[in-house]
Amino acid sequence: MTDLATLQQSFQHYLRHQDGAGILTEIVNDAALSAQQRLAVYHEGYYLRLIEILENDFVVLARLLGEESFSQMARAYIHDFPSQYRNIQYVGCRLSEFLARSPVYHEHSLWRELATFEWALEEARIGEQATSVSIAQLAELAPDAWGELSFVLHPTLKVLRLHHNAVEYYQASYAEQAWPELLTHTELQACIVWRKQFAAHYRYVNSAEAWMLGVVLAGERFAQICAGLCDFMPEEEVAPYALGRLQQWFADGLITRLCLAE
Amino acid sequence: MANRQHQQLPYLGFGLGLRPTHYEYILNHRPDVDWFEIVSDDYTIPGGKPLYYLDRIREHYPMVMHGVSLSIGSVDPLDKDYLSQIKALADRIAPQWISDHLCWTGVEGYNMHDLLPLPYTEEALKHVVARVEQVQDYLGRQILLENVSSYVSYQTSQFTEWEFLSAVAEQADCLILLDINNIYVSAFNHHFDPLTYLHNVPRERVQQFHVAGHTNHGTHIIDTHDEPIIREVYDLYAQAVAHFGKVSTMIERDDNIPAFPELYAELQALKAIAAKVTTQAQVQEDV
Repeated sequence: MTDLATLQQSFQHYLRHQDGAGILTEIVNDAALSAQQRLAVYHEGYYLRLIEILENDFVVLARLLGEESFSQMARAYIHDFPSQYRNIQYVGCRLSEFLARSPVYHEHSLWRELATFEWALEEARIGEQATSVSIAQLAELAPDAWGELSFVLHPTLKVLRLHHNAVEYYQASYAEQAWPELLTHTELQACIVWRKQFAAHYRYVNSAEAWMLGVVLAGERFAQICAGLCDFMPEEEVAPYALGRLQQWFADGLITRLCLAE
Repeated sequence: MANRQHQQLPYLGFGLGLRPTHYEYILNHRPDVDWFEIVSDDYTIPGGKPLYYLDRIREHYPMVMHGVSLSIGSVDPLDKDYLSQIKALADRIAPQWISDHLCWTGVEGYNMHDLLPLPYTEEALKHVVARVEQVQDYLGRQILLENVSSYVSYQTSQFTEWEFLSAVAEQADCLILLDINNIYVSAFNHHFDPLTYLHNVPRERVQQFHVAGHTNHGTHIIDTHDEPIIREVYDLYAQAVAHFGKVSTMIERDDNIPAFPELYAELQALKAIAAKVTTQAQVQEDV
């Protein structure tokens, strides 16, 4: 008699690989439906259920590939990267990694970037809750306190660095326009993704703002940030630039706390 | 048994599953629904829209939590992280009760995201009973386990499904969420009489009914939860009410979700059936 552990391993093996070696003889056969047909309900259901989840999380990638190609790619992903998540909402989190590592798909770097971008949007939608602060809090500070000021950014903020115009593909899809021509940037383009209210937002940032966000995330204080910006622009432009970015971040809901040195 | 509360759970009346497409409608119209059941896993996320609406809607309606990932029958260790998420969610919304399924969802660290049937053996029974006790002790309350639809049965099974479900409930001292549609589906797929199932489940342990739709493929039925309830399932529900009496009832629609008023109309149909059956029973008692 097969023990519970062996039976479950064999059943799961069938779901993933449709190999009935260990499980077929364990299943009751009858005239209405054979053991193989009964197991096939689970095998097909497993793939179809997860493909549907991926179609919903990667809407633009699915449109770009078309139903059949997307389904084939998604099947390969589910096969190679079986879910280890309790929550089905995270099933797509390694799609971009799969596309990078798969010998079949690794040449399609646009698909990989689109997957990265769409997953970042999805993660932002369900990411950690935080309340943004208003720019009025900044105005309340004494001017000599600014140098020691640091900022806590929204926990959903992610900085992506993209080789291709994946963002334009995303926009074209939702605007129901023709796909743009594929572009490869000479330098990586930084794009930030975050949640404001309940919606995922994104925008490109230039190299100075990307650097600023990086050091703010690392906990640097405003005086150090301004000093570092001198590498990107003439000194007289630093203060207006830094203030302009801060204003934008407040408007974007990116700042959730102002911290002053003890 | 560490901290387990063992209290009489209330009768909640007639509820619906809380689905994101209905959030705004519910808040704007405050429909006359007695309670909502949430899919716990939809809210074990760090933040965002679902949790916001959950809190707002909870202010107006009683709720129960229904999970899909406990994997109570798996030979993998119980997932403590998942249990702590469930406990945190319960602390947040104070549900009337917490349920999951009598099934397994994966082994070796994987999740197949399906409610897979167990073999009904002494070994599986012992295994499940021990785990239900662990979960109940951790959550500090009795849980409800639901019968799943199935498309296979195992050569090694030593019990019928209803015997197994009943034994788990009795031995682990848990409650039962009886899915009327799942009984209908499994009865069709495995050729048993659904009434035999109904009549052999311990009455005092049945705390909730699920009713749902399915897809009939001729040779077998798949429990898709994406169609209206069919007449035969309404009839079986009437039999269940006649046998078990007043049991909190809800419609579980997971896909192809219609506008709220359509589900509400289905719920009224269930309510009418329950009222009619209960009145008939009362008349018979009086006679």
